[in-house]
Amino acid sequence: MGTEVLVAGLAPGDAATVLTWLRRVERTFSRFLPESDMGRVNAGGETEVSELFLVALGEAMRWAETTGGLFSPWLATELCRAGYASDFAGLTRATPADAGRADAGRAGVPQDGRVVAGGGGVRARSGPDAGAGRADGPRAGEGRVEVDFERRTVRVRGGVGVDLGGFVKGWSVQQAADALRSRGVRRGLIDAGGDLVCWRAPLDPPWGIGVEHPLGGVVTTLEPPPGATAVATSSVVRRSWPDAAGNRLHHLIDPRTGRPAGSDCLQATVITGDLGAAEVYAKCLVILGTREGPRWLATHAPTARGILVHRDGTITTTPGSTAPSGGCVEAGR
Amino acid sequence: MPDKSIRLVVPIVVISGVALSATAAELLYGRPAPPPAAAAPAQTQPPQASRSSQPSARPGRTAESLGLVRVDYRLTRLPQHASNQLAVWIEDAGGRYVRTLFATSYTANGGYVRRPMSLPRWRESANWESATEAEIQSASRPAQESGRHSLYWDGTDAAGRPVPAGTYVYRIEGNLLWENRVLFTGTITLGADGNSSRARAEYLPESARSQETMQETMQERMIEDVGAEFLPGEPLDPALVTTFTRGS
Repeated sequence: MGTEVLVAGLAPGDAATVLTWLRRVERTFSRFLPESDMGRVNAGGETEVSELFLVALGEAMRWAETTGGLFSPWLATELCRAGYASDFAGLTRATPADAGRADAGRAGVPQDGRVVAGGGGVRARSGPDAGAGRADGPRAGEGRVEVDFERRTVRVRGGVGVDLGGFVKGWSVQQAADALRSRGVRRGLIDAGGDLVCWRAPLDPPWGIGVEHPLGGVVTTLEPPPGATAVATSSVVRRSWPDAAGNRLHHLIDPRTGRPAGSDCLQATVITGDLGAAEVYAKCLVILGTREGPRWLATHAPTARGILVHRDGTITTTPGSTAPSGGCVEAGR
Repeated sequence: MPDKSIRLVVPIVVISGVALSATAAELLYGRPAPPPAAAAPAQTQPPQASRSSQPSARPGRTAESLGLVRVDYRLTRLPQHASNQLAVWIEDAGGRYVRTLFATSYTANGGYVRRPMSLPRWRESANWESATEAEIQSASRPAQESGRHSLYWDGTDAAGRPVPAGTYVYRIEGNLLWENRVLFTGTITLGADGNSSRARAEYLPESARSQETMQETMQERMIEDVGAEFLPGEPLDPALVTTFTRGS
């Protein structure tokens, strides 16, 4: 996943289980491993994938629908176009030529900026005849994805690429935490690159979670209450790079434009009960910005708490609910 | 593309079949309710009598506070029969078997009866013919795909008992073709400090080297780049910030 993983508070056997699981997730979902399910799907053609891939993709599609398309798993091509075509560790400077080469590796990527028709969210059909005879498409040049859950195949066409990026990282960490908790593991913390799930019993000492400020320093320190809490942060600062003209580009693509989000929000942290959800909400907040974002979060996830950092470094918080996930105490340490 | 144009990048999605659902436990541990899928599952049952000759944990630091060992290797599946059987296991410094981290299911589940040349070094070390069902389930896995793989050892023996601090041997045995095998061996030290090592290869029998050389010329070396790293555990101080969320 190109990220650091911290596992704390777990017995070594449980820690080994979590790390083994995350390695499996990486091998399945990395865009940068040609042999991964993700790599094979994005190479084109009808591709048989693992159950793990389908389950996560199904979850991502559900979130795309829930957010009206504001979160999208179909942005791999746009990421490559922005210059994020290789593992971030090796990414230095994106140029138009680089972006062109990245695109050239994907069959059928529109080069002419065609407007792709369609609704505001993922349109999905189910049923045995769903793969044939759509009355409304596809039209020439449209992106199209075919997901067959019975045959376990995925086919992307028309310049579409799949990227589950941060979502699958959060989702997989949540799966690991849920599994451990269901087995009676009383306390633990799993942190994948700063997106984390922690849980504890009432008498256990609290976890201390610092929220880094993207311009330096710490926004605040959280002490999640007993039970499980998920914390995810999306930022346009950490994974960013300069283009040929010296403009900063970043990895958070706005599906409405196909370009790196250009809102006034530098970073958004969401505290809620599920890390996959937190990842999605944080991404949506950065896309929508510091004015519209909090209103959107209050509507879509009233129990979630958000902490937004503006471009000028100021901070906006949304209250969230008092329990269980939004009710973090600010530790003041 | 004009700056102000909107390109909706949400494609049409056509779904057929019934959406899969899987619980976290199923994804982590497989279904239906098998034992943990990790190389080193936690033991929730009291330790049972073990075939291991590893002495029970001595006083002092044990693996419960030591951390994890990660064993890394690159696997290239060979396009031929009687190949690709693989086992990864741990021995102590005296050569006594500690536990198996991974064994391809064909051999682990008795395929050696029909094909006695399958992983004989591992089977002998582990006395695998006498393995318990729990051990078999814990170690047996489907053959891995080509690519880089990592296995984690949690510092427990086959009965789930933490091992003492000290030097241990990790081994990977693979069948190149029929009885021709490669055996990688390296050492790693469980203690207060992190350390890493590379494993060295030997061919069993020595004539198997030519098999590997032939495969190497076809860029089909079955196992390579074998190493291990000990990741020491860190004590948790509840008075300190544990970690930072920082944007990914």
